[in-house]
Amino acid sequence: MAVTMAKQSEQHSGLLYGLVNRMIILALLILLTFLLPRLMPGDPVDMLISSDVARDLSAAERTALQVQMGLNAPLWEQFGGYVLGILKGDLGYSAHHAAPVTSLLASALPWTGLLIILSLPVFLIVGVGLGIEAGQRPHRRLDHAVTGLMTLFASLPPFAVAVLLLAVFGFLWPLFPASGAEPLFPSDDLVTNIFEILYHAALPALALAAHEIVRFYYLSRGEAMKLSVRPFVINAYARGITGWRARIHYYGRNLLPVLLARLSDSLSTLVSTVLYVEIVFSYPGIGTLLYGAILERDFVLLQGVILGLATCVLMTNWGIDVVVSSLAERG
Amino acid sequence: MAMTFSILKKSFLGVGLLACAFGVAQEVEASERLVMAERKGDRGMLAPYVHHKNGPGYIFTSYLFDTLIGQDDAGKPIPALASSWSVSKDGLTYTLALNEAVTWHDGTAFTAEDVAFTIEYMQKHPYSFISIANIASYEVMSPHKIQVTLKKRDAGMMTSKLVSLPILAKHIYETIETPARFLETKAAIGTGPYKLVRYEKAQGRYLLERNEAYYGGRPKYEQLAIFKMAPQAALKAMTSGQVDLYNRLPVEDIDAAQKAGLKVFRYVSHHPSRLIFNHRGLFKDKAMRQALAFAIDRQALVDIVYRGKAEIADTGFLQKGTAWYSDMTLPSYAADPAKAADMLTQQGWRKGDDGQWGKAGKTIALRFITSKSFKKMATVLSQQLTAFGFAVELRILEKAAVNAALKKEDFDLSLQTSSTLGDPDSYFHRVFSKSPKSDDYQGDGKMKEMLKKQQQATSAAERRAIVKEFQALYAEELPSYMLINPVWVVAHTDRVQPVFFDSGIAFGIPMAIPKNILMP
Amino acid sequence: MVTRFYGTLKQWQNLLAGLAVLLFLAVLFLSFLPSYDVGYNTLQAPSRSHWLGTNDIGQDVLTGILTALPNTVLVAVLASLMALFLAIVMAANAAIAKGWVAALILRLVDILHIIPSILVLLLFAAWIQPGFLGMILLIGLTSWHDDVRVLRALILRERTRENVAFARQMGAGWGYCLWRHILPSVWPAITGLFVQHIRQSTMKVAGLGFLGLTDPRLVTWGSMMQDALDYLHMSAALWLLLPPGLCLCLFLLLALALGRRLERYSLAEERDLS
Repeated sequence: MAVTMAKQSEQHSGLLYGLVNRMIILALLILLTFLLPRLMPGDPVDMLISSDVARDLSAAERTALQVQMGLNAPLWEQFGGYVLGILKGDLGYSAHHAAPVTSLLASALPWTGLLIILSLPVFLIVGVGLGIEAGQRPHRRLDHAVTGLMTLFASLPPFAVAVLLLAVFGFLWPLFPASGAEPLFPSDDLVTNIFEILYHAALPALALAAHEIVRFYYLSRGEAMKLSVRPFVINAYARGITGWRARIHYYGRNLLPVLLARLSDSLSTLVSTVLYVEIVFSYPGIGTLLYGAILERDFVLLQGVILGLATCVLMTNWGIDVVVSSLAERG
Repeated sequence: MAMTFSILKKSFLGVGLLACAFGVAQEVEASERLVMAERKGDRGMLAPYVHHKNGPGYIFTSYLFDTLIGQDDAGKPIPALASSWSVSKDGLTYTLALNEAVTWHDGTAFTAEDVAFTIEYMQKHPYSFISIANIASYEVMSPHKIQVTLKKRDAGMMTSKLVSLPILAKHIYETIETPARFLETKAAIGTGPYKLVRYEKAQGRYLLERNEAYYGGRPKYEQLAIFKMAPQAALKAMTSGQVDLYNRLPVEDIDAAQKAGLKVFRYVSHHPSRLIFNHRGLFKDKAMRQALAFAIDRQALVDIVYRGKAEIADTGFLQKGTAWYSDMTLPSYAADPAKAADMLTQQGWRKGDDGQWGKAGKTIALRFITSKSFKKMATVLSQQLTAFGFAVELRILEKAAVNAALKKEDFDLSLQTSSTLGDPDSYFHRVFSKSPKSDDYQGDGKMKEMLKKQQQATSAAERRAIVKEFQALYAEELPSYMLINPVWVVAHTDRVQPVFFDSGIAFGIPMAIPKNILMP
Repeated sequence: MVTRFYGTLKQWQNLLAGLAVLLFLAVLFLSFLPSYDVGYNTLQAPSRSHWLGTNDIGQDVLTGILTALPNTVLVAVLASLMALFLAIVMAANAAIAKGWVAALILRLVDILHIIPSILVLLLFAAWIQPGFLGMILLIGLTSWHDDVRVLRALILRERTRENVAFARQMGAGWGYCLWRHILPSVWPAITGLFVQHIRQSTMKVAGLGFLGLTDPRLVTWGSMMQDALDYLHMSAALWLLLPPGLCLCLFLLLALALGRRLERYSLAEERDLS
């Protein structure tokens, strides 16, 4: 009893440690996103009106714009306003898009979320399934073939997979739409509409999953190999338990905590992969938004997206950690 | 935390919207709908203060907002919101009679009060394309008559200002303190042929519908949709009849478009790329600029960078075939390395032992700074200059960093591109201003005087004569060296016919999609 | 102990010699490389004069691949070297120092571990548009934390061995012990980490190049793939996209195979030691 109590409190302090770390990161990111853009060369006012057709601004008009963009106050005052705004849930206003950053994020986030959610079952089922299959009987022909294939996959950068999928299934053999997230004119029929959205998301989601399949394959193969020599599994085999029952009850269930723990890790890599994928498929999610902000030097949007995204990632993977530890508590 | 929460909350709303997004669009028969697409989407909300500050942003907004004076199918001024106008002898007072049939998209009547309000409002909240600082006063004479008085004569008042200035609705904007943040659909209520139905920022989509009460006649299509699409995807969509017009198809895709049975509208854009000099550095003297021009092979640029699908630009700023161009023989600076070397030698430059040009025994490197959009051209150019014997220090930076370098004068050469269309008034900005897109040339002041003189001109002929002088002087002085006049392409189907004005749309936008193509 | 000592020297010599050879080859290679010139033959399919065809401004793709080789591979190797060095220093401090220094380092590592590193990388890359050196610094500085925990565990294990204790008794400083006793015995693990790190760095170099966030004059396999994106729907995609893509894949496979071999070797070595 005392032991489990100690273990529990240790887990809780671990979670607390993770939470504190995440708070520190957010604080650092707030500082970084505030400072870096202001150190970048170039004047945001210039960028905003840098068009050959725009006329010259008078000095007064320029100052007015600067005031409007909050660029002329002393640095500490700008920072104070920035932090206060963030605490109130205001990430600033993108002058380039002429829209509040939160609403830009809100309109992009569902699309990115959709891709991630769609890729989740793909890499879990394929990666874990193949991993268990190969790890059950390591060093057999199947294991060698699949591991070889996975090694090849592991050696393709995420953007290369995306470009390859696009080139092959978007153009060479156009089974799937080459860009965008929806048909030009979605139908009013909800079912067709949902189908169309899924159809557009298929290729990007697959590109996103490809990278994670490898990671989950290696993980579950290794774990399955370890499990295969454990007495209770050998026992089960001896009792004639095979097929799906063995895979799900004996391997799957015992893999769950490890997989969940890895999932929390995966969120970071998923986010970086999704960035490439969205750019390649011109998918209207967070990645495209972020990339545009970088290219346009839209500082406010850039810092907003990075902060928003970091918050989402950190909170979600902390959430997963909480689930994992409560699972572990239950045993 | 609050932030995450609010984002999440909005996201859930977003998911809900996704499912029913654009459902309405289907109600309209495809035959009644025109679909336009272009490569870069999202031009911002289509209202004067919030659309993106570039040509397409302005044009799409102009579908919703009419101006006092319009353009006919050749780009010449015609009555629009103002049904007639007169100018006083001294050229200072403009009396405008307004069209009484005009209503705003919400049904409110359009009156002289709206025009007066627009002038007032734009003096307080500057509009980024047109300056109205020259307006001294205005007087509302009757509900549909207004008189505007200028501070000084402006020959371009009609053809550049009144043609371009969108008129705002007083009843919408009078309560708006910061128009740059006014994003409600209400902000897009104008007097133009189309009304905004929906704008989806993330996807870069616009849905517009016919303004049935439009005073200029019934617009041709019941709905107008504008999308963002990659060229390849657009070609596919056009062949299947989903898209009717694609603005600015890459020249590489012309063959593919024609093979797919699409029509290709091709025009010389008169939006030439040009070599910008640092006029307070190595290229202070005209002879140096000319020498460099002779060292460059523009035909090779056309052949390599544009694969032959572009024209060599005219050197006198104005381009052949445009409204203000006068036909004359101008120096063309055809590639002539020997001549370039001669001129350099006369300027005291010598080739060192390493075969590179320099002065007083020291090699001088040319700082060539440009942005990524010019990567190909800069690569070819710097190779030409290197072959000629210049040490070239090429830096390709982000736009913002280029602008910063130009401002600090930390460069010798740079590349820019801008329209040469529009009223001669616009040349001020493109030649003399400090803007990164400008030549930032002062010279001996003669050229600036010329342009000031044309503003005071009393007749079009007088103006044209002065502009002709400007053209000759520009080719001689080379405030910048005009390189290539690229060809722009619109792919379209039978349902719509692009049209190009030789003076550009409004203040000189070189695109073939004015609102005229939406009218019968 | 004597053999161990000579072992170290030899390992360092090997590494340095390897690097020197690599650098020498790189210089030799660059001096023989034809320049990446533009030409009138744009978007040409592979032919006898251009084995891998040409790109949209007539540059030879094969020359591009070769020009990009050091910009991709050497950058990744040097960045990993830098990261590894930092990681060793940090791990040694975390293992040997006590109290707040160790705690600080470990906390820092934990923090860096959960930051989505791509965000930080993007933020900085957008800011400095790194060239050859910038890229090495950027990637080295944002990835050292990956190896600290493993290295710390190894050093902790090694520091309790009798030869270290003996050397300490003889008055040797920690620096000396680390250099002479601890590192040599964990050498195989270090090389294994190094190779793994090279893979990660290569992906990052290629990724940044692909996003166009590096100095545009720096030709990398990633940036070549980005330039190919405009021609995805044309047959030119074949010779613009595949060569850099395959080179990347091949190099990553090579590093993976090498890493595997080193891992096996290090396991064998462990067995010999115990």
